[in-house]
Amino acid sequence: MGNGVESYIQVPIDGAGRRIRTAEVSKGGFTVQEELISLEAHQKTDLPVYILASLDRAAAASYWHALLCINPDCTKWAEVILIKVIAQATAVVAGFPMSFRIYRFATIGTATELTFSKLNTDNPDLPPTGLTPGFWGGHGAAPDAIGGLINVPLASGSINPEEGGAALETILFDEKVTGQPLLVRDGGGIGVQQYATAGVGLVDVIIVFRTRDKD
Amino acid sequence: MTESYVQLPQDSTGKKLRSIKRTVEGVLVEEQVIRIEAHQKAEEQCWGVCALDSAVGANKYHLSLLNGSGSNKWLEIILVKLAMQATAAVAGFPAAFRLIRTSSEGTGGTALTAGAFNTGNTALPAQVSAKTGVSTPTEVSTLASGSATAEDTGGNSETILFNEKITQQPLLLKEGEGITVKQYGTANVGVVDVTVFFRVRAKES
Repeated sequence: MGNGVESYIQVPIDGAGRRIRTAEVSKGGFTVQEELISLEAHQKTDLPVYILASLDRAAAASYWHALLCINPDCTKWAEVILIKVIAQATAVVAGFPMSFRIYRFATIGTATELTFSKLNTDNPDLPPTGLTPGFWGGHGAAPDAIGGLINVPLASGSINPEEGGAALETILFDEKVTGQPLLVRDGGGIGVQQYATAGVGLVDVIIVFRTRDKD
Repeated sequence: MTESYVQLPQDSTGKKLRSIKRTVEGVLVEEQVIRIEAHQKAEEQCWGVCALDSAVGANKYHLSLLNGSGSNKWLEIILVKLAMQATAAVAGFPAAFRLIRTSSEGTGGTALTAGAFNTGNTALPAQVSAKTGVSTPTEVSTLASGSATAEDTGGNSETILFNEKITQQPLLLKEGEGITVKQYGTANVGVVDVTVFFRVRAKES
């Protein structure tokens, strides 16, 4: 009766079958069992998380400041959790707000490879590093080096390296906002591209992602 | 709290409740896997649509999204973000942008393509339309306002007009409903990018 009244359901005496995990606690003067469940949430804490950090890249028109690619037939997919772009400079610069965008692409052409970092050093290595057949991360100089570009922007943001500009960082993607990750399958990739103006200053891009078995 | 378990009768032959086996303190136990029927359903299909490099303009509709009648779906707006940019230093000042609910798309404009968070998403219904630069959509009500500037020393180059994480619920677009991001009545200077994240869900009767 009534809401919020402590109560319990008394089940038959333990059988000989499987065991439902519980925590034994004392509530309302009774020893009761609280079932421990496993949440099938999208943000699975059990999945290993990796970071791709593309640092100190000079601003340049249409430059791909960060690229994450999974080659075909890889057994893992990536769930992108966060993409952040920051502006920096090594001296005072006359800057202005510059735009950066997320795009998908299919394959990487000529680009410079970067090493992935692990959020937990016990994480398994990503499927073989290198261009095939696993994960690849880096940055690239020319848009035409990126094959199979899918020319649909997924998100946009702006930063400004001007010392008086203040807009130094932008979050292009945050799973905590969207409630689901940006999924990268094998045979696909995502990249952060600068708009078509050269701009000034230096750019860092951080891509945080987890891996999971492909469906 | 003490780690414990409730031991069930032996498995029967009926339907199977999903569980995950774990060995905890030396005892093999099972944790039932449950599904949370939350509003922000992780399995509902999400999309991003952007209007890029849209020149500023007094009262300009930089990005409009309409869930047209007959889509048989509802749209839940997750995020509306506006970023200003420039191709050189400009003498700018704060410009206001408003998020406005609409009931028609208006005329003209250039179609925008939405990108899927998951390339396995089902294609959007044809009635779901995104455009930049439309004219005379039917404005229903103003939902939010924000300001940004392309001035090189201005500071605020971005504004978030809507964020579901703050409101704790999405901005819902039923059939025949839309939103638009409209600039205030001053031309100002600079260039505008607008990003809208949204998910698609089954409509309710």
